[in-house]
Amino acid sequence: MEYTEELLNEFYNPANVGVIKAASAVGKIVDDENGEIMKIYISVEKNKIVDAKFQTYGCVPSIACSSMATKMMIGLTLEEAAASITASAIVKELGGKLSDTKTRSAEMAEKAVKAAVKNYSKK
Amino acid sequence: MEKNKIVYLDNAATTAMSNEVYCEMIDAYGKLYGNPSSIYKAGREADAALRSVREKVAKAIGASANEIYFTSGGSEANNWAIKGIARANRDKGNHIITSVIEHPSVLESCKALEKEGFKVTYIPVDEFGVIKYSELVKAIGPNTILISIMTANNEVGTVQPIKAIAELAKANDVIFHTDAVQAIGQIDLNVKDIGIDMLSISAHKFNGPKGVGALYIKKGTKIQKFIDGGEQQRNMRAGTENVAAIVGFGKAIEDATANIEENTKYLKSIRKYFLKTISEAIHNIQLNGHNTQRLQSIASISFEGAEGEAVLMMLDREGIYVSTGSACASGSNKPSYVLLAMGKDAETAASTVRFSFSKNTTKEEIDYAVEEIRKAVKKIRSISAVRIYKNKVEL
Repeated sequence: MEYTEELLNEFYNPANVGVIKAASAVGKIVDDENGEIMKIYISVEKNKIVDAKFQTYGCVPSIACSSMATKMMIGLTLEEAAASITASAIVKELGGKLSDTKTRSAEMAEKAVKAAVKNYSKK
Repeated sequence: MEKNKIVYLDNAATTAMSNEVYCEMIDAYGKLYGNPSSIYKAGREADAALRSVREKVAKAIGASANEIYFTSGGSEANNWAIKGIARANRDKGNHIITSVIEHPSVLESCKALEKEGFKVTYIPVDEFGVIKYSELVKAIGPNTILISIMTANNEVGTVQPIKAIAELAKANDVIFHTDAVQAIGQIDLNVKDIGIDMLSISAHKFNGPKGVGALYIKKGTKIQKFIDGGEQQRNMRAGTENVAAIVGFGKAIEDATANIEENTKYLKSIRKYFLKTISEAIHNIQLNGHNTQRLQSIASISFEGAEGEAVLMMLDREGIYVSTGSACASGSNKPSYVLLAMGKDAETAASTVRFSFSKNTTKEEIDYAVEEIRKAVKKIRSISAVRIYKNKVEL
């Protein structure tokens, strides 16, 4: 199983690790089968995501994908984030290649983004 | 520790060939080119080499040379043992018993046989990975033709009560096979004393080459041929033998079984040192497997709040090689079925790393590795969505 250079770099140097106290919203995805948990915190001002942080208990691609998702989110509107940050868009930013067994990591990150957006809208 | 030094702590996955094995193989590749089935001199020489290795393997496990058959490794030996016995003894019954923690080559062979109409009982294990013996006793019936239970587990190192199982099998007229792939060189196995009918061996687990192993089949056992074709190996396993690899295998098993007691003593001390050092360096960790009924070469540790593969890749960057789950399962998604069978939850299973030592592992290497493991676990825990606590204080 091979990870791309980009994915490994993201894993070794993740961005936006941590929590946002008094976050505008949080998106939490739990994968019971594999025992993984992904949390994305967002700060929203005037419909724009001004800050995003993540915490992930998961494998190498899960950490890389959630880190990349937070990078992609900052500066976008909530709608733009929910629409454009898809699993394949994340994988593309991470070298464009992820094995079949690990695409779930990118899918999980996509879901976490959408969950954060949805939870903001619910308020 | 010099820079760029590799600290290899994944001996349960595979081992490097020893220098002695390597030299004998290079020699064999050069000189023993003949086909062992050919009747002219070059062929006879190659055949003689095979006969010599059969003697060595037989001696290592207390068998006779004519009960040893070379295979392409442990997986083939397991496939042959299980499928070969099942298909040859259909007239006696269609029930097989194995355990939930066997190697995939055993489990998948059983699943394949289920598709052919055989019934398989998978005996559960306790929290230490020991099979529930009473379940095994209950499972045996008039249709049972085979019991296959591994000698020692590759993920957590737990050793099964194979003497008791062998006696139980004999009392019920059931054939007993054991996958001894992880145990050779660490446990003194005498197939006659214990009462084992078939046993699987794989050379690359004890400093031999990859791609070669053996199946011991007790004389008189009714078993179907698995690899059909020519009449090599007493017409039991077709295919021109991998002479040089077999020569390496012979040297490796000879060396591995020469000093089991001394070897085990050293491994025990290194493992003890590793556990002491790591438990002092890192908090909230859990050791998996049995405390005493075990291989001394393996330490399976769960790091609360730190996912195993993430720790593995951090260590990879520092030249330290370890494993999560079993080597064969790497690349797959699911948490280790062995750990789940022992009652661990998915999160604990996912945070497990297996460290496996050899007689060449030094205290210096352990000191270096533990420091890097400490740093790696700390980093991964800082990213983790799972918060860990000690006395209600978040760490």
